[in-house]
Amino acid sequence: MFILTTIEDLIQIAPQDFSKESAQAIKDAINIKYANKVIHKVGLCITMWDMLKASEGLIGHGTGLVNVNVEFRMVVLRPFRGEILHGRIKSANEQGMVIDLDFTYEVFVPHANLFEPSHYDPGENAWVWSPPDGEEFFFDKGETVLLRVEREEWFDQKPSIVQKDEHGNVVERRGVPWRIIASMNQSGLGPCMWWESQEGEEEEGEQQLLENGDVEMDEA
Amino acid sequence: MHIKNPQSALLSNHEVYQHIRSESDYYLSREHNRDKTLSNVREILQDGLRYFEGDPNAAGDVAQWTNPAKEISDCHAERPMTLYKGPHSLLRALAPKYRLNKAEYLQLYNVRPTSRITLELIIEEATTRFSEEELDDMLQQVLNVFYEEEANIPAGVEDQEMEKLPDEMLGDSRRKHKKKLKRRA
Repeated sequence: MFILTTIEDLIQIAPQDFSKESAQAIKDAINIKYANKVIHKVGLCITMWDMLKASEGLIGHGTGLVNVNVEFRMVVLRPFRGEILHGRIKSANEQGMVIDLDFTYEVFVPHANLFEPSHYDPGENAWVWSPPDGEEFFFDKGETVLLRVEREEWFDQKPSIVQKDEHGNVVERRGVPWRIIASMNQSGLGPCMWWESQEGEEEEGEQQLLENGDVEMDEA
Repeated sequence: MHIKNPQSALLSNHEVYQHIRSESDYYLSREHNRDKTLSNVREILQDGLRYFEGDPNAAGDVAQWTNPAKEISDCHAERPMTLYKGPHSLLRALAPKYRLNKAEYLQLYNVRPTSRITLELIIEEATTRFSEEELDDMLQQVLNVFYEEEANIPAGVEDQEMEKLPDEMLGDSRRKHKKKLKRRA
């Protein structure tokens, strides 16, 4: 889920921060510049992990800013394809479900990536998995789920790219820079609660389950 | 800005949680709370704490679920590195018997499977690569490592120099693998 990214950058330290220790001042400046921001095709930056190299501080002409060339490593949120993650169901609609990771809620599970057969219940505002034996399992809002990362989509937010709507008007508001598409269609995925309770049953009466020919365990 | 290496290392959730906690001690302390320029840093740290520790403001009737990263760090509060290095690490427990790749190890740390169903999610083609007994044993080994009493781990094992594992991790070094194949041919 998390990686380290090595970045080299020119960091400027303002005079009011001169009272801080150099290492701390540089770290603060890096964190202010990067924390909680998405770098295109890299991921969402959390905070600085460690500093590898820093040059002497040089004061530029005309300003009182100290310029330092720093090489550092950043903690970055970047799930890989096929990774199993914990998340929480944030909302649902006909298209699928949005999962909240707290860091970001741009995780989307399209309905095609859910257990078969599942349907959307507009009354409950939730997706329901209904295996052939007649039981119904609800993907309730706020439930902690396990999901598998399938792919990611990047949308370049370069200021030079101007987005236009269908009438040719310039769109001022920008969309998300990054979206993760995930799936929940293997046994073990979906709300953690489902599988925990099933294990109990399994231990208690595995024999019984086999006799009944319970398809649920063999599903997916 | 220049990205020198977009992915120089992988981190486990547990490591990131430790990092977020120590950064929070500094950035969320009272003297830095007032600094407006640091607001994005505080936001991401609070998001991180919420992901790993759960929402402190959540309604009481919602069953709170704890992220494995928090449980693991509660179990290994004083010396978290014993999980990664030395004879008490996950690698040393599993590598002699099972060949797993890096991503699989990482997810054992992150998801901390407690049941066969979750273990089989993490291990690719689990049932063809391993027998049922092996998977059960693997699960037991994982739990042993994570829930080992810290007091029972001798001091300094995390810094102990250990012999390199004879069998490389699966998919660890492509060049060596090629050599092996040639020899076999």
